[in-house]
Amino acid sequence: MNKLKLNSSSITFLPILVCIPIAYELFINFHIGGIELFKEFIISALNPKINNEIIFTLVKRLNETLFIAFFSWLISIIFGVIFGILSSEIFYKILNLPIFLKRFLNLFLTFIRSIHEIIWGLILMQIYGINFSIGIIAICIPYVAINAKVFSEQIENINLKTIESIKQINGIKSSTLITLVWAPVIETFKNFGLYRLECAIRSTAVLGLFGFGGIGTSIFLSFQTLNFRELWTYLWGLAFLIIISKELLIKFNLSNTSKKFLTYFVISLFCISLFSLSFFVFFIFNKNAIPFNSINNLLISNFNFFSYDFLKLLLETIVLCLLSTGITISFPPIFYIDFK
Amino acid sequence: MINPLLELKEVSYKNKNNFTLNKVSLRIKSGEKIALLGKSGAGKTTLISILNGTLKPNKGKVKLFNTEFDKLNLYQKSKISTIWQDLRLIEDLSAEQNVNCGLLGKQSFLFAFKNLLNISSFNKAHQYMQVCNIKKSIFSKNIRKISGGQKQRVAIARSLIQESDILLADEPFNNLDPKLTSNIKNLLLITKNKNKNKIKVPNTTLISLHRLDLLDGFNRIIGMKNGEILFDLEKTKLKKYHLNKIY
Repeated sequence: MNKLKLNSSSITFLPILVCIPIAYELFINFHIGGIELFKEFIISALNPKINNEIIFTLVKRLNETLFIAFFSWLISIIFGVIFGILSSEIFYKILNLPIFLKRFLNLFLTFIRSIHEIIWGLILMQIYGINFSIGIIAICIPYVAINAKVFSEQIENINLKTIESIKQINGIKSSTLITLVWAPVIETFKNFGLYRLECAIRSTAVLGLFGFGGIGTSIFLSFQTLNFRELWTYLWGLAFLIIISKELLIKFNLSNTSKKFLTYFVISLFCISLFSLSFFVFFIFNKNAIPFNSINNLLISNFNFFSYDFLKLLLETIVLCLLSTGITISFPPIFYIDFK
Repeated sequence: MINPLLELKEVSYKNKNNFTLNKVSLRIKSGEKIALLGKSGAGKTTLISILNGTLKPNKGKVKLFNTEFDKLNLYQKSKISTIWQDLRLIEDLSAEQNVNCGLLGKQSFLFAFKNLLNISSFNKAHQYMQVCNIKKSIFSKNIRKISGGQKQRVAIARSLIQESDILLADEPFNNLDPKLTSNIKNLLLITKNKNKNKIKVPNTTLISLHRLDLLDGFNRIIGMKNGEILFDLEKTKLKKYHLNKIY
């Protein structure tokens, strides 16, 4: 019998061991109390509610979802590229800037990335109330940081010798920088950036559960009233939107576009960046913010921050993270082998 | 006495623990066509990297136009162009975009941006590419999709389009067939008076070589071994024992 050897391939399968405690938990907590509801839920998937009223609501909600998702995606991609370049080493090498600025920026991006868009949404909702702008900004904040990380990692992969050869041409620093980062940025945009629209649509739907509008709000209301047929109409609509957006974006290929289109595309991208920036500035400085009522409670509860309960919560979060990470990183290789 | 264009004074370069260049002194005057000979690992590439300012020496001074390298501005530095042994082209761009990159030293940011968007003018790049025997069908092809010899000529065109005064080339005839080698060598070594092409070719050239049959056309030969210059003489004075010293 062959011995199990620990190597880089077999180690990738180790996280699957997390399935043992999870399966155990599921087994001991198993009951059939909700089986009727579950049956109804499954049957409704094949029999969604279709009438004029619900189709009208669906289209309206999908419109809202697409609006929030598209703008948050676009803004997060543009600023993701900018921050990605700013947080990559090549930027500081070419412009001869102190490297501590990069570390400071990375720390800042890590902080805003570590807070989920829902939390950002809830925080901003407390300050500014509920509207579409909050949805867009809540998604944008962590997305900009995530996109920046990915773009920065790809930019860091530029061969040092290529950097030297372009630097040796002795062009102005901005020309050298853009020439070097262009290809990895475009490549990352094609491979990862387009996929982020799908993520933005899903995030918008989730934020909708908290009342930010879009299809998520309708899903939440249908779910609350156990109206599964209506719920499935919205869920199919959401799936349709994701599939369509994915297919459309795959067909959109920068390298095959005409020069004229490319020029218009870049000009519009520039205008949107400018608009987004002014939007952010306006949003931050406008005076319509609702007073942050919870601030006092937060200060009072601050006293308990380092109590036992707090540490317990922290530990629980870490354990849950490890378990879910174990599942998400161990299953894809198995599926890959299976489908191959 | 004529001031040298490029000058190295007692230059040493240490790579981790070993000296790849050891107290090298060199003066390159305008119009010289220099062949740099030596075995692999003799320090030829390091010498070229120090001459073009990519590497900073641990000891000694590098001067261009009688000014220390660190004190030169971008325009002065752009008077040196380099053909790298490993070409160092941008793989995701087309051949003509890569050649246009050679113009970054003379053009604005807008030009660089338009070049990346593929909407800039490629007339000058095409002119240089044709002189380097690159076929029209290759112009817009991605670097990943062309052969080694074609990439070599794209790299040569990129350095020639810089219209520099000094050309440093690290084994530029790799991947080229005998006819192309002869054509490209003639192009790189052409003197000002004999240049009938519409393009500007650097007047001063330093080329590192492995093939001794290509020494015709050079007027100065430098031999290197273990990071040191063993001989530096006129082509006419080169004898077999000189070559035996370095090989």
